[in-house]
Amino acid sequence: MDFLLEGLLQAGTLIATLNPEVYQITWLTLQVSLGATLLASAAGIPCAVLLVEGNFRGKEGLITLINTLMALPTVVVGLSVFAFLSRQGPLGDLQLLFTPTAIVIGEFILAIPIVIALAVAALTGVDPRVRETGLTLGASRPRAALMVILEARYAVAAAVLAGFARVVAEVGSALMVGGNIRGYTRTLATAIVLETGKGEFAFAIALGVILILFSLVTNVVVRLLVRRR
Amino acid sequence: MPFMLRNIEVRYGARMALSIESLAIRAGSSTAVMGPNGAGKTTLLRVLAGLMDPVRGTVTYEGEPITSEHLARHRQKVCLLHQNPLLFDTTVLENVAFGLRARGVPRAEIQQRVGQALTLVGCADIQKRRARELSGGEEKRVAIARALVLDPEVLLLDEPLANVDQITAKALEEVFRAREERGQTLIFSTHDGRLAHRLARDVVVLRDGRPSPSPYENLFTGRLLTNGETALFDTGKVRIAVPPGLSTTGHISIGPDEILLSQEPLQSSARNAFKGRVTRIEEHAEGVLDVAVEAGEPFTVRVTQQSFQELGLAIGARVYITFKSTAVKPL
Repeated sequence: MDFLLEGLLQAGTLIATLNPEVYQITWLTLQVSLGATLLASAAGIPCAVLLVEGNFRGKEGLITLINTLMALPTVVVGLSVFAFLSRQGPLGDLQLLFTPTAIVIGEFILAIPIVIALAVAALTGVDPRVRETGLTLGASRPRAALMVILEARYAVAAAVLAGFARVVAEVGSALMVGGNIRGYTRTLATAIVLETGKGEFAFAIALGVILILFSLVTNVVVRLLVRRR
Repeated sequence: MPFMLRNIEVRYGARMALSIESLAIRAGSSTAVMGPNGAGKTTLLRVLAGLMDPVRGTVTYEGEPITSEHLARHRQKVCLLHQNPLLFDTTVLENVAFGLRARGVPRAEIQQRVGQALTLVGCADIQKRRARELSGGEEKRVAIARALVLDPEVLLLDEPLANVDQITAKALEEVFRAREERGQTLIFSTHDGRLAHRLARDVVVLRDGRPSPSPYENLFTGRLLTNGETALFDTGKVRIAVPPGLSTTGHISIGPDEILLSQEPLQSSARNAFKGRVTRIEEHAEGVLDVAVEAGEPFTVRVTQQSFQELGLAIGARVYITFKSTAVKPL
C-alpha cells in the first residue's frame, strides 16, 4: 500500500510545483475537448432544433438512432476515424492521423449524439407558444428558434457539458487516432494509460486527480444549471 | 378584402377542426369570430396569422396567398395575441422590444415606442422587471403592449376579454376603439355573442369548424318586463312583445326573415308593429335584400328584391315593420 500513498504525495507535489509536462498535457486535453465540444454544439444544437420542429417521416426512428449513438464505443469511433485518416484511407492526403485535429474529429463524433439527444429532450420540453409567439411577432425562423433555445438554456447548457464530460476523459479514440505522442497528442487519459503501464504511478495519479477535478467541476456546473431551471 | 379563405380544411388527427368553403374578412374594421369552445376559433386565427398550414385550400391576404414563400412577410404584417400569452424569460422591456428588433428598427426608436406602448397599458414603471415575475394581469398587459408596439396591419386577438382584470379590460377596449378610429383591421375570437356584437362590425359564427349563419341578427339588449299576461322586452328605446314565459339573459334576437315590411300599418294578429324609416339597403344574396329600418332600434328586414321593388321604397322612406311575438328568440 505504500506505493499508493507515496504516489499520491508525489502527485500532489507535481501539481503544486506546476510540473511542465503535467500542465502541457492538461492544456492540450482542454484544447481538444473544448474544441470538439464547441464544434459538436455548433452543429448539434441546430440539428436538435430541426429535429424538434420538423414533422417528417422517420423522425422518431432518427431520434432513437441518435439516442443509441450516445453509447457508441470509443474504440469503434477510433477505428473508423483511423480508417478514414490513415494513408490508404479516403482522407489520407490530409495527413491528419496522429495530430490533435484527429483527436478533435474522434471526440466530435463521440460528443455530437449526446449533445443532439439531450438538446432534443431539452427543447421538446419547451412550451410551443415560445416559438409561435416569436413567429407571430415577426421573427424569422432562426430567431424564433433562438428564443426556444434561450428558454431551455440551462438544459441545453447541460447537454453541452455532458458532451464535454464524455470526451474529456475519453481514451479509446484519442489513443488510436492521436497516437499518444509526447508533447503533441498526449492527453490526460492516454497519458494515464501509458504511465500506469510503465509503473509511473505518481505521474498517473497526478493526471487522474486533474481529470477527476474536471469531471467534478463539470458536474457541479450541470447540477447548478439544472436546478436553476 | 384583406382575407379570403377558400376550401380550407384543418385537421387534428382524424378530427376536422376547421372546414371553410368560402369566407371573406373585411379590412379596416373589426370582425368577431364567435362560437362555443372547440368550434375552431383559435384554429382560424392561427391560420390567418400564418402559424399553421391548412391541409387543404388557400388563404390569401390582399390577394397574396399565404404560402411558405410569403409567410415571413405575412407574419410581419399580422400579429396574434394568444388567449394565454407567453412572455419570454427576459425583462419586460426586452419582451416588448422583441418584434421591433426582429424588424431592424433603430435603437432610439425602439426605446421610444416601447415606452409609449407600455404607458398605454399602464405598465410604464415595470420595464426593468423580469417578465416571469409579473402578476397575471401585468403579464397579459405586457403581452398586449408587445403586440401593439408593432402597430400591425392586422391584429388578431384570441378571446381577449376572457378572464381579464378591469385594468386589462379597459386597456383592451382602448385598443378596440383606437383601431376602429384609425380604420385598422382587428379580428378577435369570443364565445360571448353579446360581446361579439357590441365590439365588432362583422361577426363570423363558427360551429364545429364551419361558418354558420349568425343566430344573432336584430340582436337587442335589455330587460324583461312582465305584467300579468303580457311580457315585454324593454331595450330602453322600444318595448317588444315577447311570448309569455320567455326567459332571457338580457338578449333577444329576431330573425330578419320573420319581419314584415309595409308602407301602411298592417291589420294582423302580430303583436309587434313599429313605425320606422329605411336607412340602408344592401344585397344579402342574389335577389334578396337586407333593408335596415330605424324604428327606435335599428332592425334588419330581409325581403326579396321583387317585393321590395313592388313596395317602391327608397332610403328615407317611412315604413312599418310587423312581427309576431313568437319571432322573438332569447339568446
